[in-house]
Amino acid sequence: MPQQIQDVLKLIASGNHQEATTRLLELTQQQPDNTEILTLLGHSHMAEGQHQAALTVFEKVVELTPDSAANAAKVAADLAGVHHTMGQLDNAEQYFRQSLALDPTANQSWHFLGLVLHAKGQVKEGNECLEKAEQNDPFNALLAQAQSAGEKGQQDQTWKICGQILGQQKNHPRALYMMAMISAQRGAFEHAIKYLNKALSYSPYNQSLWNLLSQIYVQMRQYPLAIEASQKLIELQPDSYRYWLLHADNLVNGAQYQQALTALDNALKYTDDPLHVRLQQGHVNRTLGNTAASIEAYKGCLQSKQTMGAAYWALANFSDHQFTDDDVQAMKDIQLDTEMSPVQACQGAFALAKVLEEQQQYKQAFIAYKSANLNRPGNHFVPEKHQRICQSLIETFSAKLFAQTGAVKTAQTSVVTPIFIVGLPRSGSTLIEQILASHSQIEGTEELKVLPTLAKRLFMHSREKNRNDSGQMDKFTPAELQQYGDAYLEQSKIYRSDKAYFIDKLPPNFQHVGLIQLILPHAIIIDARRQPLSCGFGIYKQYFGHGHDFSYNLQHIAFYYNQYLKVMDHWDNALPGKVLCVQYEQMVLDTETQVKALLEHCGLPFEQQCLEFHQNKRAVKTASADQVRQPINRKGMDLWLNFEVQLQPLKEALGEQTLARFT
Amino acid sequence: MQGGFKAKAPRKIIIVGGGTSGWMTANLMAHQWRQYGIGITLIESARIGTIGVGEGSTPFLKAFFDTLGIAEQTWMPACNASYKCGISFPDWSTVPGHHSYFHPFYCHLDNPQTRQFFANCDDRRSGIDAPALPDDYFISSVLAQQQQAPIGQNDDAQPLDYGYHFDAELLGQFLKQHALGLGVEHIDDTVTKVHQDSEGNIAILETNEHGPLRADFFVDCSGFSGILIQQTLGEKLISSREHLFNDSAVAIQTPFKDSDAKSDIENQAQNHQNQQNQQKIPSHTVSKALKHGWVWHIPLNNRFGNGYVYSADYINKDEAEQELRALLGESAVGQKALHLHWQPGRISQHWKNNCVAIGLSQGFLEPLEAPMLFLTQRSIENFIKDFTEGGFSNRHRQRFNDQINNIIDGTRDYLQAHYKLNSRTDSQYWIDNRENKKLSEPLNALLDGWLNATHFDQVLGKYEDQLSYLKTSWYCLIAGKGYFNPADKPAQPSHQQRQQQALSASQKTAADYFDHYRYLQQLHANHS
Repeated sequence: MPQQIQDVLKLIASGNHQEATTRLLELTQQQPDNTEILTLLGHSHMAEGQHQAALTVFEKVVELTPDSAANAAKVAADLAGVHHTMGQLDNAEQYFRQSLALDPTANQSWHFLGLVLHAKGQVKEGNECLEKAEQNDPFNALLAQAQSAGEKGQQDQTWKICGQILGQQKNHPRALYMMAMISAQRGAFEHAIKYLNKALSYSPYNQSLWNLLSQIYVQMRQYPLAIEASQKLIELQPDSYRYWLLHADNLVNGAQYQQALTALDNALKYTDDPLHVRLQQGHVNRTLGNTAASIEAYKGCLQSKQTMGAAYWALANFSDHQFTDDDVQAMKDIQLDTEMSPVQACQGAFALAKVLEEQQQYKQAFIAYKSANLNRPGNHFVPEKHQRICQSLIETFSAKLFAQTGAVKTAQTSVVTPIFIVGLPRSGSTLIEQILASHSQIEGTEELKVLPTLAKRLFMHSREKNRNDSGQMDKFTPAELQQYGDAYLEQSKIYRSDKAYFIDKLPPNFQHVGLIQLILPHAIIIDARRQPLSCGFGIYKQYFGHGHDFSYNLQHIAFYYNQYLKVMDHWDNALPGKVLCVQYEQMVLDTETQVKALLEHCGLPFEQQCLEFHQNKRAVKTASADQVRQPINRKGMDLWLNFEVQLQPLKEALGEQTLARFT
Repeated sequence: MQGGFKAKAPRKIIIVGGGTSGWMTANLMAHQWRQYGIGITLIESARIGTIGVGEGSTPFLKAFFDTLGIAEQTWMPACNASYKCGISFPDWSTVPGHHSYFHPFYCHLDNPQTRQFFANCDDRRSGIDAPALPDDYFISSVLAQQQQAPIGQNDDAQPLDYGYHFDAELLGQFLKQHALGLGVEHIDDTVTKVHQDSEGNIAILETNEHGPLRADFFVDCSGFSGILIQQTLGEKLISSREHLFNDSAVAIQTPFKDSDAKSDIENQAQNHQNQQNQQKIPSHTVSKALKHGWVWHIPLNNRFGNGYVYSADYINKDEAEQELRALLGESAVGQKALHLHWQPGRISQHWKNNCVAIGLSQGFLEPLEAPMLFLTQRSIENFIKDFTEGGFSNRHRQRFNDQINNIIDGTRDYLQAHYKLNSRTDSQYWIDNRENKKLSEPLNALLDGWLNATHFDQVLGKYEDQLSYLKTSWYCLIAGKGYFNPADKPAQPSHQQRQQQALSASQKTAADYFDHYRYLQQLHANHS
């Protein structure tokens, strides 16, 4: 008999369930009450999808097994599993509970009972069971090792341990979670998502998994998917302030501002730290142009050290906001308060500097600007690396490449034309966007991250093609390039409606002019350019929430500006006439002429409302939100002159050659 | 990312003080922690300036440049650097045949010859008059004698271990430029006040021109003043004055060429002659004993660095400068002298709270054997490793402090052995050094074991954990100084053979290596 069972096990291992079932049925003829054989038969039926037959067999096994038997818990769990698979939730619950009464450490039973209760809508009880499952996980010690190795920076070791766990339980959610995390940190987002989805197929109510998934989609700028994931989180735990806040964040990124406000209202209900939510409410209302509501929210945030720096900075961005003497003193006090977090202190310093500048205390103002910039947490810009990237762009997207691909130019059948506005921040790009968005045929969106995300994907793709990091493009077929163009139009859809033109304004896209030419040859490109000293100072004065890491150091700003000129010069040489350069100073001094030139470049007729752009009620999220809601003025143009001495390092780093281009 | 592995890395680090240690720290941190996106700011005051006389290294410095991916072809010409095969120690000993010896940078290629050296030394310790001067047993010694570079003339030549000589000021500048490329921010300002938080951690540095600066972690490279580790966090210097008497130095640079202004024709003639003379550049440091200390001669690519290290208890600074100028002769005329003074010693907690001290703020022993740059480098490397492995917590702080203290104390012992074993009688300075009874337990046991133990290895083994220098270095030092009981048995031919075989083996290997001067010429030509 043992030999016959061995044979059956071999059949099962080789996947031949049909033959195994036949043999097992023969064996049950001889020994109808052998639970070992019956159990194997039950699993074999399950593998063949014969759930009803399996159910009958496992019911018999339960009948035959006394509660005192060592495997009684396992037997009950087997039966519960079949009920679960068949969607018979009540029965499944009953037998999982029976199994757990016999063995309260059976983590698999806790896990599946959790799933059953969730499926029955008993979210809280379900979560408790899932927690018990984790507590009784036999891999806990290994998981702790993996976590600790990861914290020490030994991610290879973490990876190895997780691999061992998965060798024994192929869909272990926490092992997959760690592998997803490592993949994400290495930039392999697609892999990370694969691991998470595998884990979710086993553990669909695991909040950590959904949370990480949402965050990875944010990093990939796949906001609709990030929103889906955070939606799941608030369903799983509707009283979590963190999840509502995350959800609100995702909605803002997906340009769903009204829904974001609702999510923030919900977040407020479940937190004892309401000011953090109030701050977000301020931001969203500002984007929507609800100035009064925004200011009210920010003022509320001045009470706490957790938010006051950010609130002062936000208020300072309303150009006509008046601070009291007490406010100014508070901003000064923040600076030497050792309990203040760096993020708050830094924003407080930016606000203080701005106030001092407005009070014409230029010397103190500039010291405050320096302090603010130096204190910006995580301003990590690596000039060497940036230079390599720009150089490789110039080499890759050469005139020769355009000549080659030009010969097989793709027939763009798209009915919609993107208008890319590129350049440096604080160079009038929001103004150009606001002007164009006031045209009847053009739609404004926001700072879309779609193109840079595609560029990353394309780079990975080129790495596969070239088997190196050169980023070379010559191996892409016209069909492949068109796919990327289509993907761009598809992914940008949620931000626009049905107009023939839409604006994609993201300053750093100046690096991607060549790419745009390859995948969207019909796109229109505008370069917003501003005199480097006034632009550089404008950038230096600004606290950007994230990104623009070069903008907190005058040398880095100059370096970045010079690289930008170099790259734009290259596009002008390789693609003459493709990019229209709009000089900010001319736009301010002679708006009408410049607007007409802009529209001509877009191939569109002039419309008067483009000159009345400040009446446009569209949402604006950038630092210039308040400015573009006012008529054009010269206010910002010469501010840097008050700091000519302090900006000497900027001048020197820009160099004669650059400065000479703007005299 | 929530629940990620990186969450605890500091977002901002401030390094107070530039100089070699500040910029080495900035580079290594920016490079090793590049994936963490940590903002690094270095604040230094142009007004205060740097010490900038540490111009020689041990072989460990090569690993520093290798880690950063900087080739010798890039950094050496920029720093007027030359190669260093080891150090010669003339005039420390009066024992016949041991008036000078060479401490080489040895490597695995020396192993067979080193065994011969040990064998002869051990026989000499047992009373046989075997030749036991280290100079004949190492490739680097031969290279130094012949003024060769430790660089093979073709790819077959095995790579050797070696150090460098360099212009410390230029090295600082070079490292600064490299660090800026890696994104390190540099500001020129003075720290006027340090604020600590309620737990005693450093929170804010006030400055004159840049307002208050915040960081999660601070590195004190402020030199002897130790404004964070000592002045703020209260670490005290533990003096090693009882072991090492020297506390002062006077440094004078001398040019390769005679700079006396003469008529043009004379000048041309002289230049020609100098060029002839200059066809060789030494590839080792000279550490020659003088009446109240010792003098270093460090050959760079374009000049010598010289310095007299002495104890202010025995002569004053003017006397020291005079003695050095007399030694250097005409070449030092018109050259500026730089006087330095320090308290030999170390602090005990190099890493305290959210601050680590690197460089002179950790304390300073003295320049003999050029150990302090290595200590700086090792402190940075260990700190980066321990801080990372501890998940950016203070988990491994004690381990770090213990290891660094061990290195310093072990170094102190090795340096003290130089003085303890001198046999000069021309000044009280040398007599006091020799008669100094204040020895650490390991040093005492080592010197005693050398004279009396059958197996010196056992003594070395017992104190292994407390020694900073390896067996070969101890043999070179002690045998080099001629520190033996009187020999009562004559040497056998086999003893001479060992020496002869070792020497010819080393000479044979050395033939494959470049001439120092020629190789440096080539390096510089490629650079420009």
